[in-house]
Amino acid sequence: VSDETAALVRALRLTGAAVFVLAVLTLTLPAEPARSVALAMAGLLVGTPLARVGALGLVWLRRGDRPFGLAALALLGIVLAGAVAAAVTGLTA
Amino acid sequence: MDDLGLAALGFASAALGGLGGLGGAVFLVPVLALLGVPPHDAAPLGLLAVAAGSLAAGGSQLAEGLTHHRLGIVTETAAAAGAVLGALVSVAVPPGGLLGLLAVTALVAALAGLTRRGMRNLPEPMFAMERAGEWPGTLAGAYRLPNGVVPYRARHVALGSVGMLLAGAFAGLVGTSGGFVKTPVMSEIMGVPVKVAAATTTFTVGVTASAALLVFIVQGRLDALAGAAIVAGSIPGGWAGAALQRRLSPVLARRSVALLLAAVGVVLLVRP
Repeated sequence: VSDETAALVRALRLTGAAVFVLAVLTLTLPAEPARSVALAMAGLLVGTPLARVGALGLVWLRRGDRPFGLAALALLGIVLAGAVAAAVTGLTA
Repeated sequence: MDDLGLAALGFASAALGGLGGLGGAVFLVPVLALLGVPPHDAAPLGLLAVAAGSLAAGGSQLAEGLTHHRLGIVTETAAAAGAVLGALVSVAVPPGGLLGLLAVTALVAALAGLTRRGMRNLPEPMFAMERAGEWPGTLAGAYRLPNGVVPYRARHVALGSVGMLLAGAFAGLVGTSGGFVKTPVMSEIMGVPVKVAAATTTFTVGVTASAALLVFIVQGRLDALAGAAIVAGSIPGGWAGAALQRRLSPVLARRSVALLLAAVGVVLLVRP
């Protein structure tokens, strides 16, 4: 396993552990701090895969692996476009 | 349902999903719906569990050289587009329609569990010194078996991307991972070894979940407290399911879980 992959593995394991700890904390805290902790946990869960895609895309672009680097950035663009479309349409269930 | 009940449900769903190799949300969301949670509210909870499962399993699979990031990102562009569209459209679908889609999802996942074979790629002696992992600049790679190294190259990428688009759309609409579609598409259509397909899917379902969850958050549909309770149960549930799977016959476990899921799908279909 390369140094970069090993670092990514460590980061994923640490983040996974942090998510679990935050999730368990919400079960023990009073309502208001629990809500803030739950939001932080949701932010980690949503942000981690996107950060992983972004980091991979930048590494590939730096190494000249342009098509895949651009594919990663395009993927992030699609995700961002979805959030913007949701805000613009303003639809709720 | 209170937080401990949600955590217990998250645990049981993830354990069953892990045992059958189908992912936890495919149980969680239909059961939440059967317990009276509106399907529009159950979908974001299912996707939080999907994201947690993806994160919990991702490190080990990456360390084993099984995850193909380039393949995952190329196919995920279609899946994320489907997830975003599904999530945006889902607000316009009436609850009855989403329940019907959930029932279909459960039945399709059960069928996938009952019939899945997985492509059997064979080791090639000339690649014996090759390191396991993806090959830069390509959709090819190699992975290591006890008796040698297996090279592979993804094919039919366009056709596979259509399957990913559909899997993503289901994820955005009803809140299941779509992994039960993605892994067979990668394995059976794209010719990727089933272990690599499963690990790459573990990575991509996290991205699909993030894409749809961002839409749900903007729509104000995410109950973070309920989600945290489910995640608190689903992470150890995933560990328990994986541990059980190692002790049982994989085929028997997968088929038993698929039959249970089929029963959930039928109950969803026939409920008044």
